[in-house]
Amino acid sequence: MTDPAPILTFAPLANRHGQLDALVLSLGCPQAPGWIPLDPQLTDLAHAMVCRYHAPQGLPEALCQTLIEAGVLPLSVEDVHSDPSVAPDANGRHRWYASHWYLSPPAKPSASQVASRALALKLVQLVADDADTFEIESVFRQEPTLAYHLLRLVNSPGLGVGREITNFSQAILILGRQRLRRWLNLLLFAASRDDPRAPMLLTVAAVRARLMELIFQHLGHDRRAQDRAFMTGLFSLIGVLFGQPLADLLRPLQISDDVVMALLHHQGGLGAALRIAEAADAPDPDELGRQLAAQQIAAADYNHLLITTQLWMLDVVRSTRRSDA
Amino acid sequence: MTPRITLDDCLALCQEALDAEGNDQKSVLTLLSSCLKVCSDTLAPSPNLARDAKTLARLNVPIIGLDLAGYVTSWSRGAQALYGYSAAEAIGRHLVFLSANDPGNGADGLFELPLEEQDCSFELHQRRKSGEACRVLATVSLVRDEEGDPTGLVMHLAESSTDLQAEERLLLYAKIIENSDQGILITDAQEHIVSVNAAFCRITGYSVDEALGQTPDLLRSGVHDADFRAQVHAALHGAGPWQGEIIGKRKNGELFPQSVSISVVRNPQSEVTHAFSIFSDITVLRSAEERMQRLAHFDPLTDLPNRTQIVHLVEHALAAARRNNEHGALLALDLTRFTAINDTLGYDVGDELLRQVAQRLRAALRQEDAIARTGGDEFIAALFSIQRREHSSIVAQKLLAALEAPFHIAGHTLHVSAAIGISIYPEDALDCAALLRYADVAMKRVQENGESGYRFYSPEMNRRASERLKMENDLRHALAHDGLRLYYQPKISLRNGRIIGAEALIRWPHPDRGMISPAQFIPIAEETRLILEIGEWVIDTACRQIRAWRDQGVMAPTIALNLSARQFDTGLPTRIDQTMQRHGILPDTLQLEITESLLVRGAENVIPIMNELVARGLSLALDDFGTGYSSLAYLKKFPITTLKIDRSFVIGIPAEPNDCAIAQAIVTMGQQLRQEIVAEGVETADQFNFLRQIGCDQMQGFLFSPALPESEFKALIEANQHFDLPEE
Repeated sequence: MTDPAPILTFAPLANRHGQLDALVLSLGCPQAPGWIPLDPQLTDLAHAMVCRYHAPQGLPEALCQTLIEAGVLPLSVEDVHSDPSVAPDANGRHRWYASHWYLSPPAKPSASQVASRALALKLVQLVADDADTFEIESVFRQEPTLAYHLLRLVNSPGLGVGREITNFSQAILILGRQRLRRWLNLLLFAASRDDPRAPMLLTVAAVRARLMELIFQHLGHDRRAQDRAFMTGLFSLIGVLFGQPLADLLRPLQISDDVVMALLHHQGGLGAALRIAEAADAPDPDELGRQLAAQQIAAADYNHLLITTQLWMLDVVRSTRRSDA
Repeated sequence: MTPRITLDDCLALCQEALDAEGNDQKSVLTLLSSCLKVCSDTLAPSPNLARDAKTLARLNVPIIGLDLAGYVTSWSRGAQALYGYSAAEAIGRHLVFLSANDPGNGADGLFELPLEEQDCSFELHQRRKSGEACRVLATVSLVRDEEGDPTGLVMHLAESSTDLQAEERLLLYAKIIENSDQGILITDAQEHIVSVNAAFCRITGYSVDEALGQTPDLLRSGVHDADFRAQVHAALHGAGPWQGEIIGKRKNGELFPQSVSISVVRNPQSEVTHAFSIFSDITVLRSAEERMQRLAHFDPLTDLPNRTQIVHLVEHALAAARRNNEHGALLALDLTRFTAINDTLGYDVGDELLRQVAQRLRAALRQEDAIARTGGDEFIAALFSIQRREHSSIVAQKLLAALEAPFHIAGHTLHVSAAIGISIYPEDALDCAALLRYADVAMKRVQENGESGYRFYSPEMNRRASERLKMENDLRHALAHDGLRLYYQPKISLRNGRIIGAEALIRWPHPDRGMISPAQFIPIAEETRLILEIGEWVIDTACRQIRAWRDQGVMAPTIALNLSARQFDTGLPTRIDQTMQRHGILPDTLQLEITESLLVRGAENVIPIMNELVARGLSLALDDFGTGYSSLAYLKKFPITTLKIDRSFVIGIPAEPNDCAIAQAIVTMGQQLRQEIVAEGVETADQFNFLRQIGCDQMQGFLFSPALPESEFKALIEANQHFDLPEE
């Protein structure tokens, strides 16, 4: 099968408050000849969030034209700085912060802070309103620390569940609404302030989780497997978030072996999907190309999944900021 | 300003007390106790305290150290005394597991926690190890490290003292009770009356002294049957609130109707300590005219409608049936051996027998059916709306079964049975007189042929009824003798053709009649409750098969089982769990397919069972979405992962715009709720392409594979076959 589509990656850029402010599109696979058309959803994405493209080696004229028509302008390198402590200057340079500063360890290890108080508060509200399990689950799907603590809680002594937890709604149902409410309140009391890295980390974790879920859907796996894929992506950054070894953090959880093996050793189908998600946010186009080929995923299909993921992530970010306000 | 007393001071005093003896020790202990009192009143536990878990553990004040996620890290002796858990049991647990999780006791203090404050106090509703509930006043504060970052929590606890307001409240309640217009009667756990109010005395004529110590039987009129009394009795013992009308008897012997509601009071151990009945005399509400009506239309002995009334009802139903093309049936029932009983044991016994027969017959029918006593020992049952004519024979069987158990009357054990004749409309006739006559003719034929049983008026219906009976018997036999089979129909990913599941479907290879379609025998099983045994058989067989595959090293996909609405009771999650454990399989190997018809039982009854199944790790699919009792609002409340598009919509795809629109809507909705969509009954490439295009996830159908016997299905998955998908 001929596959002329370029492989896309998106790198998130933060504003000086550490919040997502723009996406930088890179196009891998430069040797491919006819790169057009791009995924039509790209226009939607450029409407939803400032998008720039970055092409150090240059791009064919026609492609630049297509991107600009889609609303994706070239990135001015001066806009971006790698050190978030540098303030933008009067000319608006350095208004964005790239690099993976948010992937560096936290000031001190802590496995207990809620990454986003806004999301935790939203959860409290949902639980107080006796919202449907489906809605409550959707918040856990956006907040890896909350999701992690939930799984740890239903496996802690005293509840005596002793069974494998395969998705978040199962955990919510095991815990029960009242205990969920008490737990959230206590968690909020203990979490005095947000981790400054949190908004960007949550963004990356959300993208990994959703992309892995969609990849599994694309590969024809069922809902349960898709849930595990999502969980793998979401938890892939909790080691960074907590500043603790991932293996230690996973030990108290009773989750599927394939999730654990994927997270710790990149093994199995989930491990392969995780490699794709990691190469996509690194970004490492060469590795990405190899992994996609190994999974027999066409570049055009991957691009579509990735843009769908980015759109979903923007929805999540927006709804979080709304409830934050 | 008094010097601040710390727990370290107290510890020092402890040490002093240990070293001292006699009166010295006593005075040190007195000092210590007052210091501790001061501490416990004012204490915001010092940060060092939490860090030193060992120190904390020795304290007799109830103090708990928690990490920031709420897990217990240290546990004082005082906490052990308060809760009954030892430090070893408590450490590592999460605080929420000390909380009472009774849905009834909604908000406790933790919910009102002021989130931004440094320290805060609140009341917790908790449970000791013994299970006893307790209210605890807690003060929680953050422990911080040198840089001021939180590292843990300390909770200082005190059992809530008795609420002073409670007494006031009691006084208020007493006044309300005494001055109420309605009669109020309070009984203790032994059903003795412990309190009555003035209205009670006014209505019943009994004084307070006469009532106290008696049981509510004081007011018993004797007109209610044992069932009814059992209901009231159960309510007095906490079966749940009860409301209804009871005929009571005043002191002067006069009967009076009362509208009554009964509730109970429980102690913290949830035992019923008291029951209270609130009632009002509704004699005046019952007009004389109503009674006249009743006399004209009801049989005074059994309280059932009389002939006039049932003819009226039937005429009415027939008029409606003509318009709406409905089916119905009349059953003429004549008791056997009744005349002999009446003659030998007397009319009293005969009358009581008729009353009890009437009750049993009434109870065996649906609410919407009618039954009348039309003569000495003759009854007419009218079934106004039946889906299939054959169903009237099931009702006849039920009525006969209801009479099977002996009647115990005045020391006699009596057996009666009945002959039933059935006429059905519109087939047999459409006027009431003819239907009654035909039912009577059929009934007489039963009597001619023997003692009891039922017959239809029409010969064709009799033939069908006997066929049905035979099939039921054969089905029982098949179930008992390994005559049923499970077949497996692959579910295929619409994206790449891989097999990602299978639906287990029951098959019945009949020794004489060949393969019998489930459409033929499942309805019979549903009607005869055989479906429960068949359902258990399906679950057991599937679990055993999954285990067998695993033992053979076959990587079987998730197997979906169909559940009947009748199986869906509160015991289901445990039964399935036990079956899975017996065969040593994990819940993620199973999916349960349920139907919307479940909802007829009320979502509030069904959703908790669904939640319990999902909490146990099973996944749920909704089988026939869109065909029945659909309610989009409920769909969101169901913990289902999979929606199936019914074959009745798939058939019309892509030619029928309506079916296409419905399929599209189901997919869109499912995507919104993150449910996977499975299309059933896919037979053509056109259907396939349409379903793929609208975003359906999986499909099953003849286009790829019919349901296969185990051996063929196994061969298929062992070959790891990907089905070729039709080209777009």
